[in-house]
Amino acid sequence: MANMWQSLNENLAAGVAEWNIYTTLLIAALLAYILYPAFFSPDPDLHPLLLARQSAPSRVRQTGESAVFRSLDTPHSYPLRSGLNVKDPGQPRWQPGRDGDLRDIWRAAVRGKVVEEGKKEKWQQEMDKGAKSKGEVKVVLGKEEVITYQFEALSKEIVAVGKYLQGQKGKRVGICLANSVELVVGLFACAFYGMTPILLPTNQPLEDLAMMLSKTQVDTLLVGAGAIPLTDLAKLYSGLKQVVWVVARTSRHMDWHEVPEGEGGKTGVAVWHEIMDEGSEKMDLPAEIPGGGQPTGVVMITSNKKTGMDVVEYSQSNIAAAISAQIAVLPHSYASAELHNFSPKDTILSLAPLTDIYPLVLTLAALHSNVSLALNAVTGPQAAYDSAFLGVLPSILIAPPQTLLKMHDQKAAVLTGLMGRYMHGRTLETLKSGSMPKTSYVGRDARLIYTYDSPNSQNPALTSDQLNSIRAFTGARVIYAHTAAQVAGAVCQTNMLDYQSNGLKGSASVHIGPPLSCLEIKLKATAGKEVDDEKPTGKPVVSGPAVVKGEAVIDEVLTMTTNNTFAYA
Amino acid sequence: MSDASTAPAATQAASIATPVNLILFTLLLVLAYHRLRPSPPPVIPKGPPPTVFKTFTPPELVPFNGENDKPIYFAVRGQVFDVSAGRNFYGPGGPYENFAGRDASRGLACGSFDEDMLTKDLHGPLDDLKDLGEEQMSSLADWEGRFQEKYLVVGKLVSEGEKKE
Repeated sequence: MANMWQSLNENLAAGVAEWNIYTTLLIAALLAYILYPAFFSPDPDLHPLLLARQSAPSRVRQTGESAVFRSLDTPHSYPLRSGLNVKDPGQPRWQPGRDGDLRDIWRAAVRGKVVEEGKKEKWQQEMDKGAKSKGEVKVVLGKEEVITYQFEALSKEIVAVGKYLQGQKGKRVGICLANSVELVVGLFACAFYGMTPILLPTNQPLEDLAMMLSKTQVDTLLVGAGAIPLTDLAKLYSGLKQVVWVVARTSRHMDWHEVPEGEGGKTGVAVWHEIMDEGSEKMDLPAEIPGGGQPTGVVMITSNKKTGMDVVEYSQSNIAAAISAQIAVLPHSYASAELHNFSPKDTILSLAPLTDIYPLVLTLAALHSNVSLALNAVTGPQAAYDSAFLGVLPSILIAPPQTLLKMHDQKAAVLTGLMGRYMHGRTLETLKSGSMPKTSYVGRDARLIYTYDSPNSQNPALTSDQLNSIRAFTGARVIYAHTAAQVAGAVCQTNMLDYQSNGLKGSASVHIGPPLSCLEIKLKATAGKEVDDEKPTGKPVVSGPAVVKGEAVIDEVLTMTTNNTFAYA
Repeated sequence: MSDASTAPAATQAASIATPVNLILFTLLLVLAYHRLRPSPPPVIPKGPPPTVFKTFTPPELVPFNGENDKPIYFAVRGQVFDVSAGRNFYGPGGPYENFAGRDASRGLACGSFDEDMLTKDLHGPLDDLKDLGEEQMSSLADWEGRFQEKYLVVGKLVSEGEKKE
């Protein structure tokens, strides 16, 4: 025994005697390697255990159905998020607010951000001095021009248009415009004056447009000047009483009232900028709907591969619930609120048409939070990603997945060098470990991109690998949402700070995240079969205040991942 | 002179590969391997699977009284509650064990745990509580409200005749 210790002692002494510079260097390298992450590695954006279970199943389920899944911030047996909690001035502070509708969203945008006196600490007040409290609306015209509107001026336009349309006894107003300030003003004019806005997709052939008009019974149409031939339309659909041309600034010198031979008939023709000019200075937004109407629904048209097109009427409470859920799903802990919430420092631009329900709900949520709105008329899957940065610097983007995919393919094709590929791989590893890599793109930088698959689309658009590569290329956090025609907003969407594939393969379709807090989802198995408790699969049945008519069955098959998020089956 | 020039070269070559250096180097390699190999994200163990909502008849409900590792159920006005959390009260040997596996509506309404509060004939119709007064029905409603807040509803109770239809 003593011999063993003695020989050990001798060996140790001999070893230490051979200490040299290389030993010191190796020890230094070892210590540096051990201590480097303690000082230099970034914390993950979200605690990994919060990403490990992202939705809450109920404890009881019916046969043939899965458990009911809800977002973690509206637990079971509590009411779902149903509205914007709008408090009228003078209302007691602790009384719950009402759900709100489109008019409250506009009023919030006009009012600007309101912080109660004494609520902020001194250093926060110092920082807020000179900070913007209200947004603006910027319209991008081509490559050169950006026109800025203030919300007060737009309020006057809303009153002018609303009074005119109401004077013409319009009840169902079709809005067939590209993303523009006229679309926004038209939508809110209908909301304030009790008319039903019907948002129609642009660039449709005339027969399809006529079918949409007859299905929705439009009597007033706001449309781009010269976009549709009135005589031909009158042959296909005769219920149109009034058309308002929205004329581009370059064409305003022409006389749009001149009606050619044989045209017209019953349809009255008016011109948008003349309605604006007729409005007087002193015009306030009406506090109640003139004529004592109730808030109307918003009608939207979604294309459906099976039935051609769906006409869906979303009530304003559906939309208010969807908007409140979109605002609530952003991280709002103390540190994250400054970074991730919508604020007047942000600008939102939609490369998707506002005639889709998801971009519309997001834009309204941004307006409610006093984000500046940027509008670009070129939208849709064929819009280029770079066109979002012409003339404005949006910090929040809404883009169709085809746009992002095209940008991803372009950038991936350029990544041929070994160094470039290695850096890209390092960025993907940082993402997988849960933190957003710091990219330094000179100039423009969006911080958040929303993308979604269109309702009733059978083919999901992106894979997990592509989504992470898009995050690496743009330096922005990407939210992928799954939408459906009967649900305002999204059915489920990925957490902003979730960069993982949740147990799915990288080449499989991306997972679509937990349900939003304004609805609950259960999966119904095909008739006769039972739902597997380990991996529930079936048709989603969505219910809640954001769903048209309270409950809807979506015609597709979804399953769950191990993180309690939904995924395509 | 040549000795002096060759000797440092030999010591240099030897000193890199001393045992201590080799040990430290392998330690570095092992650490590098551990850090760089991909690690799966942490996983929370899955919770228990959800209970399936079932329609019970009185004979089917009787076994659920806590014996043989079964959960404890009882019924109040047609709703079956899972009261396994209240094993000390409703389980075997508890003061209210008469309620386990049975229709407890009359007992709760009258505030009694006697045997004669339970329906005798399990194959017959359910207790319709028609002969109870307003005070008893209101106390039954209070109990039902408390149970709905505290325990999970896992099924409904119907008579055998109703289930056959």
